[in-house]
Amino acid sequence: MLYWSVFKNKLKAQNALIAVASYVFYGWWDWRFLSLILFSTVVDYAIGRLLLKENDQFKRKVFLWISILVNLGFLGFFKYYNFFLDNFIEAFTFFGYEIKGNSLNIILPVGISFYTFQTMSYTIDVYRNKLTPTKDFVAFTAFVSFFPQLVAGPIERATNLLPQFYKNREFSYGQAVEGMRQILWGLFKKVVIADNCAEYANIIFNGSEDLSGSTLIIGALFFTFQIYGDFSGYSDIAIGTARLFGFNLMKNFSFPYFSRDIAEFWRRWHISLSTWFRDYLYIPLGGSRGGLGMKIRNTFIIFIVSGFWHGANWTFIVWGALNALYFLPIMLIGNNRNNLNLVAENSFLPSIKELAQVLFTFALTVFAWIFFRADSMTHAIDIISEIFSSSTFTIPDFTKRHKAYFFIPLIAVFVFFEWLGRREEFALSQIEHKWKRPVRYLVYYSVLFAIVTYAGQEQQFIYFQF
Amino acid sequence: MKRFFKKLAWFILPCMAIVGTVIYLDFFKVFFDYDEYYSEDLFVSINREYVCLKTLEEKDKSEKPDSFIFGSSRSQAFKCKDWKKFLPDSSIAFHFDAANEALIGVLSKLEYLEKNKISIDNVLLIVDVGLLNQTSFKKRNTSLTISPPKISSNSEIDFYQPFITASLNPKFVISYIDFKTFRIHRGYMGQYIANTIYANIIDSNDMDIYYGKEIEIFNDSISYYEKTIKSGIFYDRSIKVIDTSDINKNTEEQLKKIEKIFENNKTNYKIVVSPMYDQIGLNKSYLNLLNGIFKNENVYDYSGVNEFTNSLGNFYEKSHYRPHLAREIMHQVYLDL
Repeated sequence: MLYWSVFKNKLKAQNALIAVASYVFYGWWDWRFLSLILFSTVVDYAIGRLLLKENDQFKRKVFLWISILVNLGFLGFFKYYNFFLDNFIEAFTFFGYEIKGNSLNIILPVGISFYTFQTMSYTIDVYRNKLTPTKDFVAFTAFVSFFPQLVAGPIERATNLLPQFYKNREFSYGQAVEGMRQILWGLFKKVVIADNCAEYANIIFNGSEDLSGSTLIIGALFFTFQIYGDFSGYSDIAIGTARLFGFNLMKNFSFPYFSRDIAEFWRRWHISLSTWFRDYLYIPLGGSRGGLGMKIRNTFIIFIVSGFWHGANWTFIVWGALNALYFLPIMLIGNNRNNLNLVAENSFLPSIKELAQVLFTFALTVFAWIFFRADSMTHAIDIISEIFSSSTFTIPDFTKRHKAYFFIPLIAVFVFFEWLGRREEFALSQIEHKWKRPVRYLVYYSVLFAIVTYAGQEQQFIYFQF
Repeated sequence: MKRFFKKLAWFILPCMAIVGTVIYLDFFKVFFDYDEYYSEDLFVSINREYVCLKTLEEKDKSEKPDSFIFGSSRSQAFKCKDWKKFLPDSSIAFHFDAANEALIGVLSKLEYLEKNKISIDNVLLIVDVGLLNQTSFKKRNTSLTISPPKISSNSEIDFYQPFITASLNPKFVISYIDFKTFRIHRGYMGQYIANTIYANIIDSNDMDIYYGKEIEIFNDSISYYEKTIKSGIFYDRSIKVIDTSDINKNTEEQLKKIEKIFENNKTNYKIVVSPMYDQIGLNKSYLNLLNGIFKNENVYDYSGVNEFTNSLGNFYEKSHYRPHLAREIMHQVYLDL
């Protein structure tokens, strides 16, 4: 109300309100880390201004590196310090040298990986002369800290989001309704799908040492839906909330589990991160232009860095490397851009071939998620060993299994609804165009009812830890 | 914008009407105050902790208790009337328990009593591994286990939300209508609806619960135990298990805070580790922690394999033990046998 009524047509006041609201939102979690965002904002704003005035290429490069080092320095310290220290000590111990080092009790600031990448994209784009650096510090502060996507993305590009802070924003009825619809669907994915799946995935992964291969497969499947519901649900809530304020954020998920190969999966999963790595890492490294060796090197680099971005653990690195291994064969035979269209584009059901491709890609993804979810490499290997044992042919058995089986039909309904809406930006968007008002409202109230009555045990968003 | 808010209001209106109805019907007796929470016509399982708190709050100053039994529903084997025999004559005992009680719950209740200047002269704390492991209110979020804001870190919204959710749960609504119509407790009704064939009797003065199962056993103990054995409630315990799991790192801090409150109030306290049907002894780390913080003479461990846990007749089912066993324990604890 304040934003649209009191501050109507007052762009600066609207931006200031967003910045203040974003700082209050972030400070609510831990006010001490506000200084970190503020410092990052000031550094990148100042470097942007310096880059505008400086024509000397060497000096421009120095400014760019200062920004990158400051941002990656924070990220490195808060996220990776203990990981590097522990591995350094372990490496020396392996070669027979005993060295001592004290791990620090470091709190990882929520969303640091997201806003760091967002600010870096600004400086890099200014350096590349793709973007004119802003004079408006308030708008820039609001851009860096924009609360809907501050803690878990989508990682916005300055070229897309920053200009939206300069333009007068008009309230759009259609945009606001679509935003509410997306928030509703995001809440359903998070509260009903992800939080319920989390309960069973946690039971199985936390007690994996006593469980059969068949049970562990079920655990991996639950985690597969948990992480999708959790992260894409958050993205929907973020994009929907931004819509209510008159902003358009980039799409972050596009029904990834309906992908026909792993390349398509990565075009549909966490799009804002994969395109970030493509534009700021893969292409500068030479992309797929060089020889075979270069292609392989760059593919591994981008996937491993992407894995490492998720967390300071070898499991994430192996998850990234495994995806690189999945991706490499189709890239080397030039099939990585085969499936640019939608699955079953002109029909209701997929062909047998498409179905087989989707199921195969899904299976590969589920297998990779085991590394992502496992506490350590030993844990992941133990789980995989059990899956590839005869116990996979036994009946699954775990605590709360009956409750879990009761939940499976709801997952099936969810997948079916996602399938119906796969041509849209998000599944619930379809009903505006296709269905009559009574059916629409029945769906809305059913979703709302499910959120209230089938909410799982409250779980933190997985991606908050990244 | 007006159009949007108008549409939003129309959309929300039916939801608000449903929530309003649920509040008005107040199935779980939390939205309004009642003279009698455990009325004769009550068949919905209500939040025990909330009712204990409300009962305590409404007592006159002269009736305020100074002696408290804390613990989960297992502590209900210990009756205030039995306990009073071991307390000074002037003591007023009160059972301040909670469904699936947590250590943080016990600590918060003690802090509440201290803050409200209610004497804490005697305490009987009944613990088990489940209680010692729970050091956060976070996962205690069902209508049965959510703690009232006055004795927890929960907000008003945190507290009331599970009751609205539970009231809208189809399983509850169907169970409620089914029971209200036919007065028959069916298996699917679970914990929402109390079994009224052998109903529990609650003393609304000291909050002791007299389980209906005691009457059922008294009437025909052979049938009762045959039935429970047949249904697999009393499982085979021939394989002995030792609990070597990691202990909760917050437990020590919370136990120390509890001890500090006891020390500040010069409380005469005893801590009993419940005898459990599973015969798994309390984790050694927890036991050492209890003995270290509260001194050995105040801690009595009845878990593991012993004369009390051997006999099936001491239990209603695998989770709850019977008052005659608690009386025997109190006898040993207070007379130091």
